[in-house]
Amino acid sequence: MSIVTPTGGFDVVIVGSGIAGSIVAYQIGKTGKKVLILEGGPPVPKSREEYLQTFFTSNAKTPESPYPPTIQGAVPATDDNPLGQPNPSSLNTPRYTVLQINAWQNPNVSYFVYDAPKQGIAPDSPELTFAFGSSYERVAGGTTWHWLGTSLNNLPNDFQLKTKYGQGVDWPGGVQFYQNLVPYYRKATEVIGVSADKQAMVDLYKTFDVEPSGVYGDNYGFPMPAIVESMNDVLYAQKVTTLKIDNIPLFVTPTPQGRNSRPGNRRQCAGNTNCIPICPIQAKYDGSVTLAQALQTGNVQIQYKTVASNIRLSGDRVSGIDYITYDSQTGPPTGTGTVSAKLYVLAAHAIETPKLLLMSKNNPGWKNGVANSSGQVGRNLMDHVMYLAWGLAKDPIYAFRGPLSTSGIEAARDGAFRSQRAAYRIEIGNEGWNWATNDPNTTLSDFVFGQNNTQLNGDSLNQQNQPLRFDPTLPAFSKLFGTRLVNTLNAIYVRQLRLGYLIEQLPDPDNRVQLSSLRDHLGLPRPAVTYRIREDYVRNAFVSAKQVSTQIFNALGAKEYTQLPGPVQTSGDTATASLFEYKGDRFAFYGAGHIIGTYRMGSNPRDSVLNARQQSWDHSNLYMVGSGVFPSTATANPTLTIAALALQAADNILHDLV
Amino acid sequence: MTYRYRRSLMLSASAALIALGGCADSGVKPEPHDKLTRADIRSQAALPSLSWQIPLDVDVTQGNPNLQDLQDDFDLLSWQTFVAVNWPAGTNGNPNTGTTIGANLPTVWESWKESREVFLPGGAAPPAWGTDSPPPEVCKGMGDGTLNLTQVGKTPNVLDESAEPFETGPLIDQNGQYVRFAIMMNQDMFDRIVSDQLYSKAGQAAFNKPADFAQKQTPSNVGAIMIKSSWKVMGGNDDTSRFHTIKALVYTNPGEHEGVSASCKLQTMGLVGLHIVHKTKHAPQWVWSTFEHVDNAPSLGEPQSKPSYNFFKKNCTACLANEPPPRPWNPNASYTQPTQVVREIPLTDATQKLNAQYQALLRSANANSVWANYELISTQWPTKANNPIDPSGTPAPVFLANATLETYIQGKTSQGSSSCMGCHNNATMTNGMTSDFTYLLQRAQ
Amino acid sequence: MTPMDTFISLSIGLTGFKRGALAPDDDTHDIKSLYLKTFAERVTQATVDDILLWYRLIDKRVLGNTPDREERVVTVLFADKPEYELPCRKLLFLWYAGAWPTVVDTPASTHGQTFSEVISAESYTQGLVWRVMQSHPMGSTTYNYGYWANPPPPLSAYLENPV
Repeated sequence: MSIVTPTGGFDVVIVGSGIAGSIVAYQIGKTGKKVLILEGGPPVPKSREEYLQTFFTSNAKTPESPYPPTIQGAVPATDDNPLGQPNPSSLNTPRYTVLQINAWQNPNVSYFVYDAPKQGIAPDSPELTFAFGSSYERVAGGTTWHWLGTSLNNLPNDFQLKTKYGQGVDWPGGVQFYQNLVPYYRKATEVIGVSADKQAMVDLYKTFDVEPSGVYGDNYGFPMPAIVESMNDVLYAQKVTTLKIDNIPLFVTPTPQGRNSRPGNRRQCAGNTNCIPICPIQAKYDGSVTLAQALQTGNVQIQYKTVASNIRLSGDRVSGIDYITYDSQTGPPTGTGTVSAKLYVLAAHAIETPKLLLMSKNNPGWKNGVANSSGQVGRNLMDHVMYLAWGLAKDPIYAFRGPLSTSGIEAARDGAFRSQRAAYRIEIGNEGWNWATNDPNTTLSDFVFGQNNTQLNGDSLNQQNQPLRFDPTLPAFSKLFGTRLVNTLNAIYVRQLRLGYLIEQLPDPDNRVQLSSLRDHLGLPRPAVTYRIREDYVRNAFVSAKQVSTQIFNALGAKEYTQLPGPVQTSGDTATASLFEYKGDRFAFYGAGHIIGTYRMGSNPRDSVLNARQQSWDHSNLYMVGSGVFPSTATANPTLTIAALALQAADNILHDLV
Repeated sequence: MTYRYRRSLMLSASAALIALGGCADSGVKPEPHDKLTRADIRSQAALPSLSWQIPLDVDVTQGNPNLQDLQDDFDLLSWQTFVAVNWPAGTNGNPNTGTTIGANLPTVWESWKESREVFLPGGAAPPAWGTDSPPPEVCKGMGDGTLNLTQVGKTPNVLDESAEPFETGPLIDQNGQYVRFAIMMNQDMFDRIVSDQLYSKAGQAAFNKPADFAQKQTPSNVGAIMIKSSWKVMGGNDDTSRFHTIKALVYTNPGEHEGVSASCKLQTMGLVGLHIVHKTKHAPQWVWSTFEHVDNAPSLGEPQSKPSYNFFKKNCTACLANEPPPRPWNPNASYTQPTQVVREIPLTDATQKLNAQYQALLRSANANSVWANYELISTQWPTKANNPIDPSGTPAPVFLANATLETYIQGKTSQGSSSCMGCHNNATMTNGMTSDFTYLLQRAQ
Repeated sequence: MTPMDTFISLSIGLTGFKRGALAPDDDTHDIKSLYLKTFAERVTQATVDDILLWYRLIDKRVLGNTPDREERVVTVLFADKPEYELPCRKLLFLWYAGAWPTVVDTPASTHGQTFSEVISAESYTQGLVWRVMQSHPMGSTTYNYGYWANPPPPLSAYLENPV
């Protein structure tokens, strides 16, 4: 399908059709203005069957597993590539996946190109580099296809971390930015369709000294009541109230989520326990919902399999975006072109957007890339680095049921401690050890084949020196079958617990996305990523998270199974991707799926890419949306804030279009 | 044998027991003859006479029925129900017992209440059975169509999968016109909604329980039945004598797609698809029967033997199968790119044989019977209605789709592909509780 | 006993699930046929024939029609024919995970690990592992909103019924 340029041209061209790009497209399209979206990936398929089929047959059920391009079984399996992952250079829209993390030093598997850690570096060095922990999609509808659905506001202090705690940076305008965003947060909960318990949120915010009027404005409500809590949640809610973190009393809060607790245009949640990677019935919101609304206006065109490859400038204004089209992932490009509009919006998420800006280096006077006079494009790459803890409850709580998470401990997301260590949000998992140990298959394998990869079937001890063999009457490395197997497996699975700590990172200009010398199949540079967790501020949060986990499990009467990770290897091909030593202990970190900071807003054009209007300091007709605009990570999952900011950016764009 | 369906007497104005071929003796386990399959035995048996009496439940005649036997029994039930609900209507919408089925006449089910008559603005109580609701404002003064067809797309809250965005798309016929849908309920279903006050949000909140349409069945109160019909505009090149047609008020509802204007037009419409769903004593998950016009679409892997199809253009190499048109969707558009429909799961041999038998029976009552131009696709029924670990009753067949009503989800992928019970099992109402397999109750205001 | 009958009995003994779960009377999925076929493809038809033959021979010797009969036969099978234990355990894994396992012996400290290959979308959703935990496959449920707030049906119901 070719682009049909309307009379008078396009008002706005948007690169990317994820939640941010689709929200902007819809807000602008419904006023009658003409929008063109360039989407690098394929269209939303006519039904979920295709993605579900791919998911069901995947051997590794990762967040990316349903989505193209194929990431498993793409090539014959070999010893160093047992899942048959494709070479990213053979694909037209390769992307990062969690399966690539442990292969980070192998550019035939990992899309991101990393330098090896420095020769002889100490395992506790702040200079130790890691693989970035989080992935994204390049399909119509974007990464919210595989998001969990957690829809929390950031806290006011998240916007003034520097002013309040002397750490990190403020958002431009600090707390005032938050106040301006409040009505957009409200609107975002309608766009996504958030189910939440308003009173629980009011109670939570009171603990942070935020009054309802300050948080919510007048007559605030959520579109739907809270998703019912799980039996698992109820256990934590009962037991954690005896605990404190840095003098903050703990309590459990039901999580506001973009998931239908009532029927609407989409079905009510049925608890398929598969939010990540795909809700089979679309009870969970994803960007394709808003993309559909945008297209329904009749004023939004979209070109699929159309990869933006270069931004042209004329003087200081953007004059056009070049693109390359393709048909199949491994086939040749099928064409090129250039589109132009009055205004341009980049919404390709926080890796591909800076990559595009940096690739666009042929404009006179802009050799460091478009919109990069500050040198900050691609810098300050952040994630919520996660600490995982897991255990077995004393009594069954029936894991693997309901949405993947329905509650959390929000109480410690802010407080006096925050001048000394990073804050975190605690997510309570309903999915047993699915994430922690790749269950249920690992426990199954342990007891069918006499292995001990879960610590349940050997002589393992936990870090409190408690024996972990599940059934002491059985020998180590037992092989079971029949009724004995049934009863053992059942007793284990129904008790599995998992906690995840979303720890905030500080912006580090050396954590960055650059262009590597390797190319994808369209000839575009693959990202070179440098990533560290330098600060004691952040590492101390891991220490805290570990202690708190043990306290929580003790309070539950649970036995902790959190495994001390293996030794940190710092050299060569086998350099460990996500491990570090700190204060005599060893930690593994996981990515939360949150890619943040690489084209941040700021008050000053010398150290930020965008002003507070999400408009480039350098090019007045260029805007950017998505979590790449965030100057800080805060501790809330970013999507609600992404949506709120996208709505705000759309208003700014409409204002500028007049 | 664990099957829970018992033999039930089939109540009919002219009852005829099914006689199996010679081997089916009450004291002998009915095994197939050496060279005959059970379907063959079935096909040799006489069908029950055409009757206006809706059967109350499936009749299991085999002594030791296997899965195919039971499927055959349910398929027979479907046809009997199809005949009964399509019987020409007499006064008050009851069947005209003085005539047989065949001519193109208004049917019994067309007199039932439409969804829009039950779920009114403000949650107002619906008018009593027998009192019609006025058509939408924009239809005023457009003559007396027998049916308002208010839906153009598949119910977004049920089937929300499609091409570029992710809702089920509209079906477009070969003349570029939107196919239209209607949902009706019988009096037994309506009465339960009224008595439980489920027609309003307030009523559902006060009810505060999952909905339940189970009720004692008698020949005059057969239990809850809901019907969803699909219709195409009869165009210049359509042979109306091959369809059941009605003159209907085709209403374009602006609430269905953003940016669409309300409109209404009296048009001659031809029936292309029919879902009949009946809650019986032994099927708390309901029995799901679906029929299509015989000319709708070719089946995958089978020769395209008809001269033309309602929803398929022969020899169109550029036409992609089962793709909805791109957005924006606007039923008022004068012409939209037609959908090239292919049936992805072909009919089984057993069902095809039964279809041929019934079509012959219908023609024996009326040589020009419009109803002989319809065929059963299949029947979905719960194999284990009281399965304690599966509230959907472990349905057979696992997947079932009507090519006009579930055009874009016709596959065999769990949760993603069309399964009557699989999808309707997710149905809830405004109080958040299950609504007994109907998506109608969430329309309450 | 047909080969399928023997296969079912063996599978009952291995998995601890009952006939009603593995081979219901009205079998809408017929996963047993896919598994018997897969088993033969992976360990060879000759091995499968031998295993089933030995099962039948032992079955004749084992007395008492108790609910654990099949398990007792399997116990004797493993004792008498230890070379069949690993293929049988792979079959056991297949029933539970809907995937065929590859067992490797590294890392030594854990006595190896297991990789697996999903056979089909249906084998994944029919996997017994989801029933042994009194739940449903991740990605496919027949339960309704809010079920997760209450305990599930008892384990015995999962051992006896199809989904």
